[in-house]
Amino acid sequence: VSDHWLTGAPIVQLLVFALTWFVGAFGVYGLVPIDRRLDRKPGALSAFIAFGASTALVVLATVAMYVNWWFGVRLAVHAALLGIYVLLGVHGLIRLRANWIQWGEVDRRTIRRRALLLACVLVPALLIMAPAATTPYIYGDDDAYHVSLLRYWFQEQQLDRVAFHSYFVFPLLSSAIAALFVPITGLQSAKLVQLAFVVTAALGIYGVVLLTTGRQSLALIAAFLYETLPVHFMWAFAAMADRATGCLMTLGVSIWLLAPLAGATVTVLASALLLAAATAVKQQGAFALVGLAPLVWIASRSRGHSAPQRLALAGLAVLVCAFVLLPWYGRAYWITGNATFPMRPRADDTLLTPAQRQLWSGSVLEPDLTRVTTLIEQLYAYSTDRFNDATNPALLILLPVIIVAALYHRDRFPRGTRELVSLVVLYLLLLALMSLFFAPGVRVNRSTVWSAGRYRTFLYPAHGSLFVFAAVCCAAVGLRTRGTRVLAAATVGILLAQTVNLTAYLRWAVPPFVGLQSSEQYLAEFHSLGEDLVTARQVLSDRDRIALDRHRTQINVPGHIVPTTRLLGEVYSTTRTLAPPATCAGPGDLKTWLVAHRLDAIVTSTEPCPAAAHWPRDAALEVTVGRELVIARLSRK
Amino acid sequence: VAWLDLNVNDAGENGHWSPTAERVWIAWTAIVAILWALWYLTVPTVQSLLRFAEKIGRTP
Repeated sequence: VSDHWLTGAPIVQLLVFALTWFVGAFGVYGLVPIDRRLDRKPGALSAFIAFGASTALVVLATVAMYVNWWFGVRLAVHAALLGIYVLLGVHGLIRLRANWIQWGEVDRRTIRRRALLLACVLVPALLIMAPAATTPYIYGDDDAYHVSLLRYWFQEQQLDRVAFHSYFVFPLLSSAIAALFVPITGLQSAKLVQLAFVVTAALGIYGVVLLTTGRQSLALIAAFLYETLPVHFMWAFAAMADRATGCLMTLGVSIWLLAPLAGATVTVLASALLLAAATAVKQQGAFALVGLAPLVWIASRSRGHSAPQRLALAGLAVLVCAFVLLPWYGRAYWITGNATFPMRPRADDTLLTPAQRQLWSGSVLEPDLTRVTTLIEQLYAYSTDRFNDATNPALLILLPVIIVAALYHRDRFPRGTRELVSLVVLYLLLLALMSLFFAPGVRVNRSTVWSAGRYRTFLYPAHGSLFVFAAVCCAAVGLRTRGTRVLAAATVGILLAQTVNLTAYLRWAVPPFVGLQSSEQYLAEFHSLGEDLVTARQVLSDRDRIALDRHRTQINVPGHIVPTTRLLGEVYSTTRTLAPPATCAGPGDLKTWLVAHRLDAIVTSTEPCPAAAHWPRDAALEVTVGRELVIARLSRK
Repeated sequence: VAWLDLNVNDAGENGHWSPTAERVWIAWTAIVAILWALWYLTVPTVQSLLRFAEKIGRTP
């Protein structure tokens, strides 16, 4: 299996993945009764695709997690669940075809034109981001947990046997969604899933704005603004899960605008599912999820439900949230006694060493009011030391329209706007409050905490909902033709400016499938251990049991991998992590250690083994010394 | 793109914000977009290009 994960033509992986995601997205459409499909409403099909893909994948990935939890992690189970996703999608497409035949030629032509136009708006940026999503993994966090844990799940065939990694019960729903696609696209699916979430959210924004306002220009502009956020360009080469959170939050909040069409029950339950899913991807999703509780009550009361009906709806929403959150926070509590393990561990925790308990325990600072301005600064700051993911000025441009609409044209807001705004405002308020505690700097126990760029990571998921609200505001103030043209021109101008800059950043390099650069050449150029990793892939095989003793090696080395505490460091190690060789003065040290731990090889570095390049040849141990890595393998003879 | 709209009608001005307000907002949009683009194309882009040039220079 892992051989398949590490190879395969990127263009084929991309096309197969995109086709599977897109076909399955029609599943919910096929399940909805014919009178609820809103077929003739512009934007309905886009909304169905976006909400269909995200809800179906959240449900199937959650089911997969329950199976993984109780019966072990099996590739066949994920393949079967992905098969269900595709089959439901095919069923939906058959229903759509049946409707399509019944529609008049004029309706069909209009839908085709709208779809073509939407594709023309979204595809150019996608052509820049998609190649980046097909490149080998080079990013630190992907190696640290987003993708490495996914690999460990399948390798160990049991979720909790991965307890040698402190994030083994961390909320990683987007990795679980990626796991559904592992049978067809291997570990690359973790990157492709994040790209697909960007496109899905853009489609959802387009559908919601068009359904709500009837203004296609605003729908296209809002979708385009979301798709071309700098964050999406900068993270296109990584599997960082923030894009999944962003999509799920955007859809979970925006669906309140569809409440008049979908009904209170569907809206509440879909919002609960999507916001709980956002919380299962990243903890900050909970900032929006807590806002749902009063809305459930208000929404059901305003629609004339009786008290028992309202209680039943609230109970259902709680059940939906519990269904999604249990495999993460519930499992964490069940296994470790701490729902947010390893954060703030208990004193009697046995999975962490005393030093690690101390490391994680000081996560709360005294509020630092001098940091309040940082929130604003971070929105538009440019950082030279990490991702240049500063947001663009789109929200600044739209702010006057939002203010005018909120002050003078509230009566023209569609139903559901109040709920959307209250969820976003609560998210931002809680974010601001928490940010006072998570100020960049040093924790009380002297370990470093959130980097300055963390604020942007927190603020980013609110962008989708804010773009939808801004579009609704533009419609409410009655933005004229000239104003709409200027907004579109500004949007394109912003994109052009940031594309020049982001291209100059050159993280994604030349797409491997263009043929000018192979995956191995990309890895050699952009990974800090590049050439050594390429060597490791040549020297080691999938049949080997390999100890990894140097950080940033967990994705690109083949075989059955076992991390050491030196690789995982204080943060990611537990008491169950393998201790590295005590000494590395000669081949004998490694040989004895490998035999004692029933391993075939170790990938360590020149730091613990400084003289490795000068070791005498040993018939029982094949040693390859690269620039930084030392690869020692027991002789196959 | 404005002609794409399905239910906007410039002839009916009821409920629209005033043309003056829209003109002010258009000016705001143009200023912010142009200033931001100029800054973005000069400071961060030049920094990125310098880093890239340095990287090429280091490559044997």
